[in-house]
Amino acid sequence: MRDELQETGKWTASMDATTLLRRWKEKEPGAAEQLIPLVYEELRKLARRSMRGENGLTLQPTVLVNEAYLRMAGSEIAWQDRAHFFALSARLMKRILVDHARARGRAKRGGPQATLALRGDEAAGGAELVDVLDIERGLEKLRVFDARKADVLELHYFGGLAQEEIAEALGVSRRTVFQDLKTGKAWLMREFTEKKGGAE
Amino acid sequence: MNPQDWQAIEQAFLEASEREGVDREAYLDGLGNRVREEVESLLAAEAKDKGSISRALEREAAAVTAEIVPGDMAGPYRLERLLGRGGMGEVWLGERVEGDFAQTVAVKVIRQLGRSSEAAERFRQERRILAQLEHPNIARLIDGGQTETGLPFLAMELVDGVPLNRYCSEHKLGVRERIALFQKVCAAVDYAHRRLLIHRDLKPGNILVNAQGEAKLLDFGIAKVLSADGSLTLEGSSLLTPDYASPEQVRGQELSTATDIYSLGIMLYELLSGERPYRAKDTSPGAIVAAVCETEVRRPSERAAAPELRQQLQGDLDEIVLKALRKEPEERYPSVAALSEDLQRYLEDRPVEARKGSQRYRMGKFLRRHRVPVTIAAVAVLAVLGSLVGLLVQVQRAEQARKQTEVERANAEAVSQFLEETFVSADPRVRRRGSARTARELLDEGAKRLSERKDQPPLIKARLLRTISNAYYGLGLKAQSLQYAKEAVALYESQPDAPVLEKSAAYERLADSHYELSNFQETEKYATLAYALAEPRPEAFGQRIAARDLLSLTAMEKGDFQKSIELGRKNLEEYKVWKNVQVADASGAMLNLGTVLRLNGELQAAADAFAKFIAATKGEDNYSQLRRASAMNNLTILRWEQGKRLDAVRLQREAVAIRAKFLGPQHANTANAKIVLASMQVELGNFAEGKALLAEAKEALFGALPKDDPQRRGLDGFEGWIAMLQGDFAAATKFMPGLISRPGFASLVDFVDLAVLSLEKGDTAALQNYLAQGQAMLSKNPSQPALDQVKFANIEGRHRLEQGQYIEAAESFARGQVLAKRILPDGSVLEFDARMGQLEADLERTKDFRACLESVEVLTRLLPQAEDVVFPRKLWLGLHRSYCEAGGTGSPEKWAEWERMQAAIEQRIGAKRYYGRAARKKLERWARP
Repeated sequence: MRDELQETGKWTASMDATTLLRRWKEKEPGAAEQLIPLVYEELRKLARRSMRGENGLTLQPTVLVNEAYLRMAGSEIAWQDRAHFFALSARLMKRILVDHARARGRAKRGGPQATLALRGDEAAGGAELVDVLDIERGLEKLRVFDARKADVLELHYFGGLAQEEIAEALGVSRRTVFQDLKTGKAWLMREFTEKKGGAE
Repeated sequence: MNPQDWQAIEQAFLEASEREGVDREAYLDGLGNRVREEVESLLAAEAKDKGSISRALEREAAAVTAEIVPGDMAGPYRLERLLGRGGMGEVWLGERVEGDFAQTVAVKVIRQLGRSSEAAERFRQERRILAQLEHPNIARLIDGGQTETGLPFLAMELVDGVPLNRYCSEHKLGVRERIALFQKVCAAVDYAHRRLLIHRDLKPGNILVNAQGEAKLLDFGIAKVLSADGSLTLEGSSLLTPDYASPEQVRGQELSTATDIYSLGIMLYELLSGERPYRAKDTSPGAIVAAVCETEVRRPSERAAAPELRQQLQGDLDEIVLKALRKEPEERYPSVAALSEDLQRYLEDRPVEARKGSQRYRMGKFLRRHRVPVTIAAVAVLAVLGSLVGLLVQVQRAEQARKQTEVERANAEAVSQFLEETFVSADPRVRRRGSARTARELLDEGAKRLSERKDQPPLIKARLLRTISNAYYGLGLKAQSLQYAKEAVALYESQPDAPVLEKSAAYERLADSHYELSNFQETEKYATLAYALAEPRPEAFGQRIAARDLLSLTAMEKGDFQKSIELGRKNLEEYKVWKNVQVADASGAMLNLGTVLRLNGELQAAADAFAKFIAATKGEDNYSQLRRASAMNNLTILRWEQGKRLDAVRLQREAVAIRAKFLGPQHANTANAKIVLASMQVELGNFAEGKALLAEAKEALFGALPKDDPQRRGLDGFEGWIAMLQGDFAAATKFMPGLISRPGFASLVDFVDLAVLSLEKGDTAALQNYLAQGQAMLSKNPSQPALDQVKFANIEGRHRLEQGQYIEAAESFARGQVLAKRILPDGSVLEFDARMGQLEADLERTKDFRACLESVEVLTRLLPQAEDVVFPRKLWLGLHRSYCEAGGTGSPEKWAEWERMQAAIEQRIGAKRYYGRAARKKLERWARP
């Protein structure tokens, strides 16, 4: 009995995705809530599968988001919708990575936590150790006084959106996106450096 | 931060980043302090941005990728929960969710496999082979394929059980039960081996015992298919559990089924004693290799806590475990089945193979001249009487077989009468004084009576004389044996109608007695006569071989190893032809062949010969045990020379015990075995035990030996040698020349030892004299024992070093190294000494500290096998290391270290130990600049 349910569930999921994306694009109420778990699952699965390709190149979250989009929506949706989908995916991707990092942190609790080492040239070497949780904390801190910059950075890093796409998704000018990225990155980097230097 | 401030800061930051150099400075100067500080720190942070954020995200994404989570599918199985992690990947509990039936399996997801198509092919191949394994003690392979995330997996039978060792302790299993359970594991491994599959990762955690008490072997995950030649090279050795890994495994060498036998040995060790044979200090490769490859494994019984258990393990089980744990794969059991069978023998109280296997070894400087008697009579009363009775039986048989003739009847009667008289005289009731007689007394009386009687037919008398000579020989009474052999031969020679074979046997008896007394010329003379008579007669098989054997031994003594080996091999050939003939001594030639092979530097061939000898000598009777003790003796010295010193000592103890038991403590063979043991103990620094043994041996031997017997002087020389090692040069000088007191009897190693003594004393003239004599010996006969040649090269090098002839010294040491490497395993003591000498010569000559430091490193690796008590090689090497370091760097701490080493060496010299003078001279030369 349980097995049957499982089978059905799977089938429904793949059917639903396209429908939901369409409904979501038409801004139907509740569509997003239903879509989010699907996208999340798809992204997670993709992440875990894609490493095992023949080439096994380094994996970038942004590539995964792209792939998830192609798998779930095909190329039917207009690029503005694509931007929205990516914005959603970026947030979900961030959650996947953060969840994973937290779980890992728990798994090795008691051991030394990965610390941030970002001093000068060391950053180019192997000693740097910014982790996803640092990035998440930085973004949330930034969000408190400049929410838009946090969004822009999120879309950039986790969604892999181009500046135009970010502008479209957030309804701001491209110049604003450019400036937000520049200042936001510098702010985040400073945040890590200060954390390292014991400013907090 | 307040949004207005932030906005201002951002604006200023963007403005500033568009400017450069002075321009930017000017702009920043125009800002308020607070804003300026913020902007500058942002600019600095931006400059540091090298993509670290993206990389952090990539890393995390990669980690997500590598993860398996509950609910993932592996073929038809849904992964429910993680059961364990291992070297190759993870094991999950899998539930079948497709098809009509429920099934729970263990799903092994494999990570450590490349992504190439070649790897995929390898995986498929392995799966095919695993699928063929159907054995009640092996977890069955059910399915395999790729998980939905693309990892290869194997679905295996799920075993609900606990690890083998835990099962045993939880159920408080006794030794016999543990063995029985272990045998099931053996059965499974053996089954896999027969399918050319080795497991490579056997450990208790891979063997689960279920509630029914059935052991199941899991995890053929890193099992590899053997190639056609039965070996393979390990890939990814880091995956191993070092606790159970074999020496060849941790060294990354070729593996065979022997590697599983080793792992089984460790498990058995642990199951029986409750302890592991060894543990690595840490997990560094160096520590692991040191633990696995260099630890001399103690007997399991020594590790057991409970006295009853200790007793139970002592003997058979100790030997079985140690045989499985031999460092050299070829010395372990030939198969898992053989291991299991030996355990079965133990369970059934039958003699185990392992004990036979460990009975091999030695032949030292003194024992080289001790021939393992081909006709050794198993002594004690029955044996002596038995040989006489045997003679009677022989005659009676002859009577029955042939037509009875008057002469023969007379012969039979003569023998019967003689026996009767002898026995009657032995009867305590008939004797006027004293109690029951010993075999010796009986023999003395019989011999005397026989010599005095004139009425015996000459040929009967000759036979009896020969038998008596044999009996004395068996008792180790060499002079008496020689005397009666001479009489027998004289009698035979006086009788023109003497049976040819009997005459030949008498010659052989005489040759043999001469050999025992080191009269090699006479040995050769009579052995040649014996051979000439036996040669044309096919049925004279035994005599021909015995005579050839003596000729072979004589050639060996003369240093003509080639001839000796040739004769020995010829004997073996003849045994093959005559294998149906029952000759009890058939394998004696093998033993002697092994001895000469060893002298010729063919150590492995020698070991093989001894092993064959042991294999051919299976009986549990006294006679067989004594013969095995002889083989043990010979193999002991091989082991010693190959650096397995503790093994050697253990074996020799056993050899001494066997001989003492069956021959008595006073017997010459027992004494000889003690001398061997004494020499090893002395070299290990156990002077007290060594001297005590020597004293016992002397007491036993000197009663039986004639005054001019060279062994007597040999023993004095040996005592002198001990004195030298202890730093008593006066005593050494007095006694050691005994070693070469008899012309033609001295060997190269005697000159080496005397040269060492002269070096220690600083007596250069004597040293040069001994070296010259040794050199003359070498020139006359280049085929001196190979080991002695190495020693000779080394002492020659030492002398040249002291003379300041550094280039010549280096040449000597190089010769020593080459010779040592040719015949000894890597890292032997002799090789170490040669390399050490070379290092010293180089250091003196070039003062190239860096190059010498490299040599020190090499030597440090060799050190564990070479260090001993008598010569503190570790300290000596440490001294050189610190000198090189100090000389190379000139740093004060290094010089301080050097001074510490110096003090340590001084202390040893103060203890009047061997090598003192050389050390002192060196320290003088090396005064701190």
